[in-house]
Amino acid sequence: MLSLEAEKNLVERAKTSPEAFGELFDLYYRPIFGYALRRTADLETARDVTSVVFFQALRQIRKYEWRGISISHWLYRIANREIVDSHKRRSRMGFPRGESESEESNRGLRDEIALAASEMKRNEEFLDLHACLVRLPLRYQETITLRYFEDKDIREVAVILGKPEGTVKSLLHRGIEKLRKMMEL
Amino acid sequence: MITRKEAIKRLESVSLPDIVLEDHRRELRASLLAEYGRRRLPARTMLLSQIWSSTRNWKTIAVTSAVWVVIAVVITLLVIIPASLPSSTAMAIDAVMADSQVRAFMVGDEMESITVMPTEGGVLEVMVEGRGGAIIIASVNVRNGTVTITEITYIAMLGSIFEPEERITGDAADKVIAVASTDREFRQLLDKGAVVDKVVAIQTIVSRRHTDTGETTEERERWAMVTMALDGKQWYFLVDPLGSRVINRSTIPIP
Repeated sequence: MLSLEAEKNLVERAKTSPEAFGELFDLYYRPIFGYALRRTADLETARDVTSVVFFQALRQIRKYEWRGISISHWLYRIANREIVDSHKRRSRMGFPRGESESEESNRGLRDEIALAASEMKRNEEFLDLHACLVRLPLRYQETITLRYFEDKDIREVAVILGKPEGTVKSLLHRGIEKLRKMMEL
Repeated sequence: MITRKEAIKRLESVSLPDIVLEDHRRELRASLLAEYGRRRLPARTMLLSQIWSSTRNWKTIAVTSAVWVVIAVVITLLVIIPASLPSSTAMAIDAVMADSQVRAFMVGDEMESITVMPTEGGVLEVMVEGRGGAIIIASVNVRNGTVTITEITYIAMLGSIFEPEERITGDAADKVIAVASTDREFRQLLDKGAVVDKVVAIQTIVSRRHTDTGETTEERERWAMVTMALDGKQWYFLVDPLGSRVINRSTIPIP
């Protein structure tokens, strides 16, 4: 992990240097993809969300202002917004996302997804828990996932979600209570 | 029956999927770097460039101006006018704080925070958290201002000062203090120079009454109490290390 000072320098360089942006990508691809996967339990959605996050980061990096905290919070925030949007899109469509022609043609990536899907199935305990979690409203899902799966403290969750710390604590309290009831069903 | 503590333990101990799509990572990296090279900022603003150019295209100017007028009207209707009216959130907070039942439940406790969350059908869920740990959850119908209390939680401490204390030390104490440090008041006291006097284990009963279903649940939980001292004064913080809750009990007598 980089120190905050080193990360600040890297972010400044990434505004004008593709190599530095590549370094940022290498640093945060895994956490962001992991977060998207743990939120959605769907490899294709996680893959798409991750792509959108880094393309948005690329578009906005020049305007990014360093605030003394890791840029990963900003990336998590973009990921969170994209996950909510993808959820809304799926709800509106009312059926699972189909494969587009370009995806169809991309055999390599499809094979990789198929392989990873079989690995994913082995995480039975997580999938059971996730099945309960996704039945909660999104505001509880995001708070619980960031706190417990991403191991963020209350302050970090508040920064990522753009909510006061008190609200995050309340959401956690209520969310766990609701989750507990779901687990009993 | 799964307790809250068990639910949290399950969240903390579940084995998480650790998968990376290496091909996707490589392709995305290459696409991003290619895009980085292609990126150019849009160099002109259509309207201004047309107005100041020697060959003015009045049709383009008229269309662009009309678009800006429409945008201004939409902003006025959607942002400026609603902002001048009382929001449903403010109405919901006022309704809950004025409710006689809520006031009765909060007697002897100060309000720590109030959270409003939208639900469905014009109903807002309002959560009032007291400094002493009481939590009241109420639904407010914003159309008619009706307040319905759905859940009340109290936290009671067991034991007394006459019983021997169970001190928490080492890593366990550090973990408790780390959780306590997420509390704004705790941090402010530390900044002012307060020192942690001691960390002791304390048994609590979390009593939760669901007024909508009539169900009451009681859970015994092992929390910690952090005592802080500064200039001869003491502060007490109740800490739930599992749920990351911190409650300032300084104004409430210790049993």
